[in-house]
Amino acid sequence: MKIVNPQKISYFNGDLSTNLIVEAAIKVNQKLASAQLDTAKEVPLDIYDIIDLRMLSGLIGEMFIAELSSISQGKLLKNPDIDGYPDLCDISNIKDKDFKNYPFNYFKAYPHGGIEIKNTFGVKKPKTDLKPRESRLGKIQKKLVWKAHHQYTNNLLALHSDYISNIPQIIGIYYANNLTVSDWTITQKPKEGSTMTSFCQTETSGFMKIKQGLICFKEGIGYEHFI
Amino acid sequence: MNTLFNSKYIITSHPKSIFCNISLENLQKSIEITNQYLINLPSFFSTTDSFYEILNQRNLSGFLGEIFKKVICELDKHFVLNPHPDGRPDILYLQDPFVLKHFNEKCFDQITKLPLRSFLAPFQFDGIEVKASIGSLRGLAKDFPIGKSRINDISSINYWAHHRHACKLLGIYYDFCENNSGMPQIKALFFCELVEDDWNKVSLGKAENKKTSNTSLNKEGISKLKKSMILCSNEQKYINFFKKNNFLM
Repeated sequence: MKIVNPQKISYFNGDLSTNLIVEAAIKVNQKLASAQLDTAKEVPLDIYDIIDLRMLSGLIGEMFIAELSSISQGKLLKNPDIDGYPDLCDISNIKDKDFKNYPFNYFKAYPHGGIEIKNTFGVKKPKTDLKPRESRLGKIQKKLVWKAHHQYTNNLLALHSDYISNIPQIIGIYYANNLTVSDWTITQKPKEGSTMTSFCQTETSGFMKIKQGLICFKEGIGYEHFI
Repeated sequence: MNTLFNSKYIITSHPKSIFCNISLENLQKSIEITNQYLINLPSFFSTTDSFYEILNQRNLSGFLGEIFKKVICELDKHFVLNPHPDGRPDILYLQDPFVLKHFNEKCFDQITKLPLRSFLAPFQFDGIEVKASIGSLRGLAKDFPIGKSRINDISSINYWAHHRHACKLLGIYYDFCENNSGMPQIKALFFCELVEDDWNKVSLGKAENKKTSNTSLNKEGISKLKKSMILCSNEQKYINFFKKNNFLM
């Protein structure tokens, strides 16, 4: 990973060294590479032939959350509420670390700051032939799009992933702490009976802000040309 | 690597069950390999407690079916996965040299080598559709998080499809297994031959949402399912459910 911003990122109530973010990405990439290994003695099963891109994208985001939480050594807690915001809660200034003592919806909108994590594989250009597990870098639109559940999403660590030698890897990381509601499309709400979750996605203005906050990218795969 | 809880499977041979081209030995082996893989998979990603939550219940049945299909095709080379993403049935039976020749020569574009929908959706010769179900809950889904066994709280087992079509169905029933840290595990297999009339009328959903069309087995279809269990876990709670609901005699 080539580090572009060797400083810190800041959010309400705290900051975090970008070195930790890069370290977390490297560890996630190592785990993604090892997860492909054949596990069944008699039958070769490759997870990346089974799991679809949407599931994989979410999984990489979750792995990164777990890794960064672990590396931060008690500073960032993975939000215990599955629907909570943000994904990583800064607990440096919290005295009572026994989170069972907190009210049921305390972490729904955690009040002491933290970081939200989203991942994207990029949006395929129209009429582009893209085979499964093929590198997407030259075949996706220049404007990356991240999806979120809420338009108030900010302090966003935005991951960009792609396949390298058929293995999914994090290839770029950005950060923006100046996103506003208008940087997101209007949230689409699920209809009655639908199993879809609500979501919105970055507008061009949001993408431009995020793009300014490049932290690091994978060298040797043509990312310089992409950005 | 985690150890698989050694669940045994009862071979049930209902007098009205139809013959499945996959040997019972291979089906048992496929269950064993799939179950072990389902247990090990979260640890490869170091997300042990949340892997299946990330995947979520909406995707889990399809994911489990995908693994099982791959295992079957690896164990018995007469079966291959339907290479078209919209292809049906899911796995194709190519034991007959004529069918194999048809598959190799007709089902792919000669220049691009890409699979051809016109020959694979549907494939005109024999094959098997594979579907997985965790059963229909009596209570609210929110009370049954990923990892919590549902066998005592399901009203029935049913299978879902996008279209009403005749097929040979290999139905997987799975549950979150308390003996394996709540990991999803296959607990029974069904095999039956369905006709179009065994499916309910297709629900198209609403134009403004993204839910795809779907249908499930109707009374006749469920009735066939009840006569078609071929393997079942020997754990008492599953035997009790299957006996109570007339899946087991």
